[in-house]
Amino acid sequence: MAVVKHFISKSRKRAEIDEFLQMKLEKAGYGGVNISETPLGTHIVIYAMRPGLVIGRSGETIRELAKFLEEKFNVSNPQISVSEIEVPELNPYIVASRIASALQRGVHFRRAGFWALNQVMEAGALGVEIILSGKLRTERARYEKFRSGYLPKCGDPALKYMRKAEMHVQLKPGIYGVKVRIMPPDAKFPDKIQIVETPPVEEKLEEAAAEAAEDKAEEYTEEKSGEEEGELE
Amino acid sequence: MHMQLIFVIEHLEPEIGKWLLYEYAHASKIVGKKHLMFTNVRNKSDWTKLSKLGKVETRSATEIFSREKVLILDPKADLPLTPEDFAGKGVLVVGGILGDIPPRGRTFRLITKRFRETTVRNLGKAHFSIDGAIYMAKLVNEGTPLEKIPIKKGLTLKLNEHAEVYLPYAYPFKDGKPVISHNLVAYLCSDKIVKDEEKLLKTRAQL
Repeated sequence: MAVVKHFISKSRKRAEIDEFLQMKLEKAGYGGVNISETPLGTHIVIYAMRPGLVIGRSGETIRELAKFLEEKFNVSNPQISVSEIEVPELNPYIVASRIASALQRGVHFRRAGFWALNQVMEAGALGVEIILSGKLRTERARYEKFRSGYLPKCGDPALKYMRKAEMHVQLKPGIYGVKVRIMPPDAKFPDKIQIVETPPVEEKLEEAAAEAAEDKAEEYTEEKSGEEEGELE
Repeated sequence: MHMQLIFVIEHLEPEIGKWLLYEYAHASKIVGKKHLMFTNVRNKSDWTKLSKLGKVETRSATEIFSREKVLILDPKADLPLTPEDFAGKGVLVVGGILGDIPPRGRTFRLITKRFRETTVRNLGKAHFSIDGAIYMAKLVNEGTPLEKIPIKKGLTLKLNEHAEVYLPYAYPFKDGKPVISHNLVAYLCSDKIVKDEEKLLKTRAQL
């Protein structure tokens, strides 16, 4: 039980850090965090669209962040590095925040959903799912789901490769939830096997015959040279 | 059917949107205009809209009916509805509320609490729409046990190949089809709802 508790508290801490960074680095285009513990401390990789804003003037912001993480979240010796997001459309945090800002501007969630779906698929994702949920004052709560491509929700590829993010938007008529799941183009599936084409049999036979002939010729030259050496002796 | 039973919808929403109106209209279609009453309708324009669907009262059901005659449907009730519960009752009260997920317990707060010592029953653990709840109550009143009415939790409406609307409520089934207003389904799948909601979002944003 102690082991279970240990892992639950670790995951909780990770989620809290993620939530904190999401709020703090909203303007920098926050795109997730990778936390790994090393013997020297904790290595934290922050993914962002604008790394400059995460680092700050001569590393001021990053130092502040490290101090805050150490004090507030008890992260031991945090070593923060920032990585730029190459394709923002394949990052669920970015997609979710773009949808959220569209909703805040008054764009309808059905339009925002379709727009985001097309952008993600055009960026080359294998699959995407966007779920928008909420309630307007004059209506019932409902979910609007947008799906495209191939997106397994369970199994090894889902655990290994699926990227997901969740965000909440406070609008005047109520609170809205945005959930984004993306299967990136580099995901590998165990059920998708690529068969390597074998060369035709005839060609192989010809090659084998040529090789055999070469071997014979070599043997013959070796025997000949041996005989010549004997004669000389 | 128990002909004397009046189905009362205690209107508790601040305004009547299209969604609510479609549910009310469908409820009126299920039990008939003569057997449906809307109470607590204070707004004049709402009064005009609802008078086409049933009797309309400005007063609350708590002020009109005596508690012995009333049976309340509340998801927070301890016991499920049975055909025997209708004995000696002339009024069935349903909350005219468009629910949240998870429910906020508004029926309990705004109706049950004010109708003390009244028979209060639920329709199981599921959360029904107003018209769905009225359809269920009608069947139970006619003698069908609650557990024999087929229901389905959650309804998916396909918009196109890539999009769908999911309604996280329970819907009773009749002849293999969910009991839901056709007009509501058409509205949810159309562009009209997008335009209406955009108007609403813009007016709210300006407030």
